[in-house]
Amino acid sequence: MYPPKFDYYRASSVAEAVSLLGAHPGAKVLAGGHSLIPAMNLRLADPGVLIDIGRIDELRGISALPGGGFRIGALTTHAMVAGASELPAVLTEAASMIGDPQVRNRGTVGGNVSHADPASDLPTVFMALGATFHITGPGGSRSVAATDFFVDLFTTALQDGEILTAIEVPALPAHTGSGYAKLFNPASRYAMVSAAAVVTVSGNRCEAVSVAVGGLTPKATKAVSVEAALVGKQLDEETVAAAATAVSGDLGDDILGDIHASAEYRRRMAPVFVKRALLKAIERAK
Amino acid sequence: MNSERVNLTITVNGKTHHLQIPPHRYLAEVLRYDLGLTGTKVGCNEAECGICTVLVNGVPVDSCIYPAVKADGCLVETIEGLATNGAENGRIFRDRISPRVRTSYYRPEQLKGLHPLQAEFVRHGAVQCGFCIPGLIMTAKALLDANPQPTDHDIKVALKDTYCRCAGYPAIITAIKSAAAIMRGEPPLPVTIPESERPLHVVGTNVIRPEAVAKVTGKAVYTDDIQFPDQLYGRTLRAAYPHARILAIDTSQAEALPGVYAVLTAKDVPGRLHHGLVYQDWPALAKDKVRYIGDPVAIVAAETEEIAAAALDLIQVTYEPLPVVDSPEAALAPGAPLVHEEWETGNLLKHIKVRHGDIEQGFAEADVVVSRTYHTATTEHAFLEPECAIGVPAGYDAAHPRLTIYVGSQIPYADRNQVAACLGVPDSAVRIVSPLVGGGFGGKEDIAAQIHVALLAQRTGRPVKMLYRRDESLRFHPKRHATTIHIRMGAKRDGRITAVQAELYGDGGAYASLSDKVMTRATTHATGPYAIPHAKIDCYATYTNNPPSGAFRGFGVTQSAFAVEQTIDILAYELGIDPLALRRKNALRVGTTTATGQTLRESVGLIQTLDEVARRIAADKTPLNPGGNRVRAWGIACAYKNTGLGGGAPDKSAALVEVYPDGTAEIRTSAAEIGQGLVTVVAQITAEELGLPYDRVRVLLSDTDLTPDGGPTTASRQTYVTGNAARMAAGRMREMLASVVAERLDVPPGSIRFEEGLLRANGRRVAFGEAVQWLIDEGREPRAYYEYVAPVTQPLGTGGDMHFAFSFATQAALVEVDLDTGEVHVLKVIAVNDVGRAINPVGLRGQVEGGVMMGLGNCLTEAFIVEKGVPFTNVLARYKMPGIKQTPEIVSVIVEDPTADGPYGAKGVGEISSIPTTPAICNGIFNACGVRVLTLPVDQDALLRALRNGRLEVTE
Repeated sequence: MYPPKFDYYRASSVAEAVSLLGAHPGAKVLAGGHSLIPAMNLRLADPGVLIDIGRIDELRGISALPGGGFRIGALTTHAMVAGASELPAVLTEAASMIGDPQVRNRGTVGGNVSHADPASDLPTVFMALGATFHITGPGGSRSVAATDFFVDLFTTALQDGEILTAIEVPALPAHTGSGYAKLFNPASRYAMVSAAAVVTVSGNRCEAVSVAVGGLTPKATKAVSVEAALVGKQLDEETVAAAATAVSGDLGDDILGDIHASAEYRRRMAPVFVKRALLKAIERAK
Repeated sequence: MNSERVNLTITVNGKTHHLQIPPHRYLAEVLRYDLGLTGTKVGCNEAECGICTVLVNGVPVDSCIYPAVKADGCLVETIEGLATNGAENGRIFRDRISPRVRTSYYRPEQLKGLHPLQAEFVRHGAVQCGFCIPGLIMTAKALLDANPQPTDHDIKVALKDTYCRCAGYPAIITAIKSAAAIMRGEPPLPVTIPESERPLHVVGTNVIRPEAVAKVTGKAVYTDDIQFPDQLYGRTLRAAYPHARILAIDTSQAEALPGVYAVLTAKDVPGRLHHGLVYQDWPALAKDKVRYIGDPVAIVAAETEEIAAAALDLIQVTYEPLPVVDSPEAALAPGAPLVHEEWETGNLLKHIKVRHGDIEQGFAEADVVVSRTYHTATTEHAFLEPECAIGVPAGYDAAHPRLTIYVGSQIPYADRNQVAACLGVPDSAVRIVSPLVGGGFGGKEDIAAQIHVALLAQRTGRPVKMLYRRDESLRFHPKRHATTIHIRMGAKRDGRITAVQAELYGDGGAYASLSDKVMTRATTHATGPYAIPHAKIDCYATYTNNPPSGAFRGFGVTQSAFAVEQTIDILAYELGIDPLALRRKNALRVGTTTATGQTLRESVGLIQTLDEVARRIAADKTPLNPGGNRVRAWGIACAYKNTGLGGGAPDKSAALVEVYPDGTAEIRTSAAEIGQGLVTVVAQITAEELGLPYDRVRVLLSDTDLTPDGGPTTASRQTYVTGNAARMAAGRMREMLASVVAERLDVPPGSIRFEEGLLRANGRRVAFGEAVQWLIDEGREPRAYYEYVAPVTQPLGTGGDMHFAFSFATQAALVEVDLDTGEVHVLKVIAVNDVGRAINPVGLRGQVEGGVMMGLGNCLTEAFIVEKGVPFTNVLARYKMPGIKQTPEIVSVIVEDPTADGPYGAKGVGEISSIPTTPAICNGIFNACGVRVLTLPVDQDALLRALRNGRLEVTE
């Protein structure tokens, strides 16, 4: 077994990676390789040139931001995220559900979100957390909100020659909990439906809430109707369940369906998993 | 860096290597082929199966998709580095090392120096085919390095996607916990598997597989572990359409590519073009048309795999696509396109009939009649070792005077004869050597690359290796038949079943393979293990343009049991009778007659299995009200399965035992070790018969020059048939030794006892080795051969004994349904099997656990999806086998109702252990949530829709 032949360059800095990308149009960035290499084995990708950014240490790791919140380097592995108890539970929980230990040890957060697989776990979580994506390219650096970073199926705001360097997640206020719930694809274990929720409570009242769903839509989607139905309400199970059903209004018409689960089934599962994510978040907020 | 070569420095198991490699070389390839560390196995190249796991800087990674260059400067640990007793490091594997399965006898001291994980995997019987074991152990090592006291849950999380298709997951968990205990300085967990009720000296006791130590240290040799210094690499061009006429093939450009040594098509087959185990309808290379997407059109041998692949792209094939026959219904429709124009009955491969009693009378006598239609899916063996074969040309070197094929085969002698026929040479001109087999389950019975490597080796004069990639394996090899089964069952009010009528439609795919036999078994077992006075069963096996269907653990009975056992529960529900009581009332027992007219005279343990399950369920403490929106219930199902080929097919096996003056013995036969434990069984039997300690017997398997024909490894037959051959051969040797010793000691031969390596008589004793020396001194060969012929069977329709033995089983599954999502979880399975006699209980446990897991997968998740003849399931990521996380608690109970002619009473277990699981789970689903699933695999989407819409059945 072998992938298509490729030229290989190892970048030692972000600047060098950007420069190599500029010099080799069509080149792909190689991080953990857990999306790219299987695609190349199946001849679904044949980039000709791979720029390995795996040794750029500045891109790896989780650090607390001075003003609160965390910066997660693009090369941080899922295993590192899953084990970082300082991060919001929704993020560690989702990371721990990716693949198996082998995949989590190699797969990177940056690679995962840049691939923008609709069945992936992390885009939904970053959407719910209101994360910011830092990008460096030939024209310098820029920042993009999660809602703008994910554009469509396998499509992000990254332009040719640009590299995702880090993702920042904001600090969560006091009395805030977060949770992730996922309906596993029975074959690939990717998400067929996933939901991420962040809830701030005051007593038993919902002060603030952020919900996103994924897996069933071409890109992770904010569940604004659920948020509207919940904010300011008493957080008993019936209210949460009722609010979760509002997700139907946020899904749009383009629901993914395949041989493993019909679009209709996924649509029906969305409120189930929104509710499960919300209940986890509320439980943790208390 | 450029594309040609990059520098790589890696430290593997403490030894540093400086290499220059192409950047696209994977770590697994560097380890296996550049460093000769073939203990690391590759199963998928998708990071799906996890068996290629090695540790890089201490963390487990999938080496099969890990560009080696990324490991530059890293520390790598592989399975070869774990043992401290002289594990070889950096050994380049060459042909000098014998690749055949010659087990050194197992010695307890072999466990010394092993890593505790290795030792405990061996001791607890967690090793079966062994192909996944290095990856599992490395994954587990990383877990124990980080967590010295893992819980079951921790182990399941860590090993989530490291697959074992033999699926001995419960034993794996126990082994890891035991190793953890040792590493904490505590005593290991005891092996708690009970021995046979009537253990002999060796037979019936728990023994360790002779080849297990090699499997846990990475030294076990599978076909792709063999490399010849000058070998070429073969690749196969497969059909571009599932059904098309071949108008022209132009290989000239491919032949002109530098590095290409041969490009062959059908015109280059010198002998018979077609192969096939029952009907010879399968061309070694497609000639005039292609009939499925896996059909080979051309084969190439080249200097490297890359060049061979590039050559395939240069072969121009002109096709005229034909309409695709994609189901049995389409195949039998009037005017359907013909898959095989020359087949006399069109697309109907065979119509199989069972007629018993008077079906009209049977339904007239019934008070209640139920009928349903069931659908089962095409399923895939997913053995973790993809097909691999190496052809070595005749006269290549002193060790290869004749054309030799190395191949992990379930039927070495059939391979030999089929290769010889296609080459147009006598059988004796071909030698098949089978290294270990990384799982078969029926999927390695048909010819894969054997003929192709033979043709290429003969043409090029060099060894040629073909290793299938996973996608090629998936689309090429025969599957389990998808079936549609209509079944109608009638019973008296008191529960006595009066009639069963069934129609089965089986998708045989493009070639006959074993469809005739598999569908016959589905038909004859379509009444279930019950005494039914009136039965009429019709089965239509069809040709289609889907991948061929053939043998797969259960051999057709898996499908009919799914239909019959649910229909029994439906009938019980209609009658208001407990399903277990209904089964008991109608169960086959001694003196009853099967639907094929066979009156059972002995060894019918079905009722014992039913009663044992009833006792176990009654005593079970698992709460049945889990809370939340979830429901739980038990479901049960029974099964029976023939041991042996049956149906009039001569069923025989030969074995040869040789004894040595050093007091050891070697038993030789060509019967495959595919993980099921045949090596252990014949070693035990030989030891038992010769009165030798188990650790003095070696086994040599599957070399057609050195070992006699053991027949196919199929039909749960090897313990019985080859077990008997070993028993008889060893018995002959015992007589030879007894007569020599009797003469010298002047005692009657009958007075000599063989015990613990000694021959005793009249208070005198002679060491076994000394007796052997006496035999040799008399000028006699210290060898005994025996060809065992199993009891004669009769063809279907003649009313005689169609089979010489049956195994029986009852299973109960505790099932939980999530009413929010439709997800189904199996919490516990009680599996009670009547196997006649447990020869090696610890090995038997592995067969039972693996069988249950395969049945669970067949029920809940597994489907090989083909759309208009083109597999959607082209990667392992699209085929969900149950892993360790889906593994329920499995309680295995053995019933021993011996069969007279079986060795010590034994009959088969390989298949029976898998058959009742699927219907037991489906009956549990109904009992839990009131919805009956008539279509496999269980679709949570459809189940939920039925629940929501108040429908009682899932038919889609």
